[in-house]
Amino acid sequence: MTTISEVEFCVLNGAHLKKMATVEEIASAVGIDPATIAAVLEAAATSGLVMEMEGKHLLLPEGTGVVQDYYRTAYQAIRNNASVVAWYDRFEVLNEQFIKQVSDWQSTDSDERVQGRLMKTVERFLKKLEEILQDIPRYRNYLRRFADSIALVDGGKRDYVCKPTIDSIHNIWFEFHEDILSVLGRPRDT
Amino acid sequence: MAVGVTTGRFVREIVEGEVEDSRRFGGKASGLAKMAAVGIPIPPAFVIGVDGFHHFRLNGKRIGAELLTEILKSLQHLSEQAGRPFAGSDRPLLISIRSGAPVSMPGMMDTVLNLGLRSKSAFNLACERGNPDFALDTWLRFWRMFSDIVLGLDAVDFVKSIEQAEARARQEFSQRAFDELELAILAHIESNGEKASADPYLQLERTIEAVFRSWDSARAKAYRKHHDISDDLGTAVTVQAMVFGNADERSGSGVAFTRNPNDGSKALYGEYLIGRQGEDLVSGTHTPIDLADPKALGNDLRDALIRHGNTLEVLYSDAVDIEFTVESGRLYLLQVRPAKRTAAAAIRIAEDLVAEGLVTKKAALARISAEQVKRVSRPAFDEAELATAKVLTQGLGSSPGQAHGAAVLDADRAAERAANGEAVILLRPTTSPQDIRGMLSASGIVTAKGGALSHAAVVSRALDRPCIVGCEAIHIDLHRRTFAVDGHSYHEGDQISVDGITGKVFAGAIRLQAGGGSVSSLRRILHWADAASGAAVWAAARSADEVGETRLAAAPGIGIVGLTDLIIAQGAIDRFVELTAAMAAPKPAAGISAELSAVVEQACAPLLAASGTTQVHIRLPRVSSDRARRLIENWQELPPSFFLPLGSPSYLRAILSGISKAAGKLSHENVAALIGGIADAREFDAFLAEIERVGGLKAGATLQNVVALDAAAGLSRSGRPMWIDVAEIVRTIHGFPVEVQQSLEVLDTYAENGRAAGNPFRQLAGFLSSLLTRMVSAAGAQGSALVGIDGAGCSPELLGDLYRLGFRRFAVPVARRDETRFLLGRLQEE
Repeated sequence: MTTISEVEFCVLNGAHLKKMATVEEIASAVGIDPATIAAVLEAAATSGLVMEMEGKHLLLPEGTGVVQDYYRTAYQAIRNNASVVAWYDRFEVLNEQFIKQVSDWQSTDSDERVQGRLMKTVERFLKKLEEILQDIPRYRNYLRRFADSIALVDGGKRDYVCKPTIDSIHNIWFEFHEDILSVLGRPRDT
Repeated sequence: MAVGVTTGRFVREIVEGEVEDSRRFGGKASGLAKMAAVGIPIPPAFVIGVDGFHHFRLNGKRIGAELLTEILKSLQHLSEQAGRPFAGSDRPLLISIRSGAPVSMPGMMDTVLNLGLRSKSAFNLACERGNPDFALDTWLRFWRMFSDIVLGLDAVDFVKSIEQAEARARQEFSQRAFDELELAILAHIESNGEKASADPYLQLERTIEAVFRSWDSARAKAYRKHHDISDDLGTAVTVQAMVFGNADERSGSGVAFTRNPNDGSKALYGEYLIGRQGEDLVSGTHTPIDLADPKALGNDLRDALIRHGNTLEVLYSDAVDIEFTVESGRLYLLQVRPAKRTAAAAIRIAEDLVAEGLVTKKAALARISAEQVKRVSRPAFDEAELATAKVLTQGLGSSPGQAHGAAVLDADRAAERAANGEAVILLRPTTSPQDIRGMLSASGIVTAKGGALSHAAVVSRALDRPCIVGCEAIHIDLHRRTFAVDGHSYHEGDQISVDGITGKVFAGAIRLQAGGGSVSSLRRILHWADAASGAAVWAAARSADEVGETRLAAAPGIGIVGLTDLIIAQGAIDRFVELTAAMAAPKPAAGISAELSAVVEQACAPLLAASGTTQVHIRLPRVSSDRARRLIENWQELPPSFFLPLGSPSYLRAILSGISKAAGKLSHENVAALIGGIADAREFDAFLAEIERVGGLKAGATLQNVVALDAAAGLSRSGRPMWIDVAEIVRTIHGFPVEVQQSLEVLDTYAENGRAAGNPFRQLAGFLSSLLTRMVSAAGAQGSALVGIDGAGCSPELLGDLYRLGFRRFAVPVARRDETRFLLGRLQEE
């Protein structure tokens, strides 16, 4: 079984969460310089973990397995860490609130009041996210991505609330949710 | 209501006339003042104007003695009006504090409710009721908001840390337990490094300061910078007496719509909760009564609500929704705003507002969004087929719309099959971020697990795809690529249909029909839009089926119809491709030309029959096109002359004769053939000669390159219709492959990353604008009706630009026609 370094994991996990992604997309998601990412992907392609198609990188089943193994072994301690587990339980409450508010926002033609409440929830989440950075430092990247998209929404670019084809707030949240579920080894049930 | 008594520098009573000036007193207070002025009952209130904010700023970010004196004086007056003492221990006045900038902005503190209780008065209130719940709920709601909004503490932590003290207060129901709860709250705040006080006066001061400070929060600043709003504008603060829907059994809270938000019909609509506060309505913990039910409100209150609703509709020139509270039999309106509504309701309401003389047609168009028009014109299942369709299962409809396609169980395979032109429904156990690509290419999405609030539902709505979640009866076997419902097994690729509203999943593909034009309100609105824009929007149908749709009834023309599309719809594309290749041979075999004509005739006949007497413009196939390159196997072996627009007269004649025969047999006298790819007036003259030779057809051209545009002034003098394929021109001058054009977002991102000034498919390059302007002016007023835009590949932004240049004829795909007519009609607004 292939074992991988943390940097390799970050790159492959970035590709994994996005399914198909360019070097640039992975770089901006995981906060690693594009040259390193390109090198990791090239090596991964050679060892049959990744396939490149027209500049986009796709994890092969073997690659997905390696990523999942890393989650299993590297986060073993975290899975038994009561404070992180408790943190996740509180996140679930916030997650439900968030999805409800995004749904409201969509059904009210991006009503300003709803958007205000929604952005407040996101800000509250960011405060929470800081609490577990000590345990999972790479989550700092989510913080940065959220801040960028919040600034764009505040700048009037409403697409950055939940448009699925860009790094919108809902997309980042969705990726984060998938990530933390994998860290804790929990199945997605919704 | 009495005229205000305040005469200070900063603070005004809400009923004073000058408060309507939102620049000085903020949007919130101005709205309340306008309501008060037309006799709407609102709870008494006062406002600290933006002058107060400036005073605060100059005073070292302190409220200061002068401003504070004015606030306290107004507070005193508010107490008198409400008949309750502020900070008193028995039945005290409770207040709300809201920020009120002239423009609302993110990052600003918004609202704190129920300020004014302390342990003594809270306990007295509890005794008055004979149980502690109302008092504790009211009091703790204040503390939650105060600690969250004013102090910035975590709301969940707050609730947790006082949990025990709260439980004791509920159980013991004693002054001591209430005092201890207050101490627990203060201790929690202190332990988080904030100063705490139980004194309502100090709490009010801190809250007002927090509103003023939030003006300078990082997000608010960034927002102002981006929107060019001055940092010196400042914010106002509105302080209003709280009213309680849970005061007694003659109290309650409700939400009323002046028109039904689902269908737009004019009738009071809404819900009422007897003996409850507004937030109980929102939380859904109690079941409200329908306002239509006579039990909900007495006749007097109901009449008053209707009367106030009518007044407010005039004030807002729109349908409104109203949050209201009845306190001991007295009605108060708390919040009014333009009503939320469904797309269908928006269109009906706009139509009715015009009929009632409340707004002009122009203003009515502004009440509707392009999104709503799109939603109402969405295709829907054929009713007859729907009636007999077999329902497989029912889940939760979580994104509206109807669609059919092959059920595919994997996002990658869904994307692959969709890329080959197949309609696909993505069927997954659950969805993860990895599925987004598959969802993008699917016509609909179904998940076995999940509730109405799921990521899948959010993504589907954002993509405008029908989505059904929680179809627990579907068992998916990803390895075998099968799924089972009720013991029946189905294979990946089997056709299913989905209804994102009812949540029903059907076996088989149910035929889709146009929705839009068949809705009479939309039809009228679109006529207004046409009248406003003066534009003729043609329907670029791809098949006879699309022409048959009711929404095309009023189309000024059917075009641009691709002959290749008609041949594909007829299922004859393979043979047509073979015949085309055969025609390129130095000496085509006998009968090839005749067969080619026959294929073309058969392909055109159904569409021409369906189009009646409406004019039809058919675009001839271009062998040099990207599609031809993909379709014709040995494309590169064709003789180079074959790629030129008039390079093969025999091929051209065979096709023209096919179209001409179809038109002749149906006696259709208004069919034009459009030649593509030409660049020179001499080519067009030669084409005209071919048209005359065949007979029975008119001639036109689609201009697809920049040289043709340059020659266009000459071309358009021919008096024949000229369509400009703007997207193709943009693509070719940039040298983009079609793949780039087909995913506009790639270029958006490219531009956002600073690698291009903008997306060229969204904004015209300067020289292109001048070429096009020259063409419009050369054609002149009369000729401009003959010069049109082939809008198939044009973004809405680009269509708008072209309209502004003076173009008035557009051809767009059937599915986008309603939306385009509406958008062009709205441009007159500008």
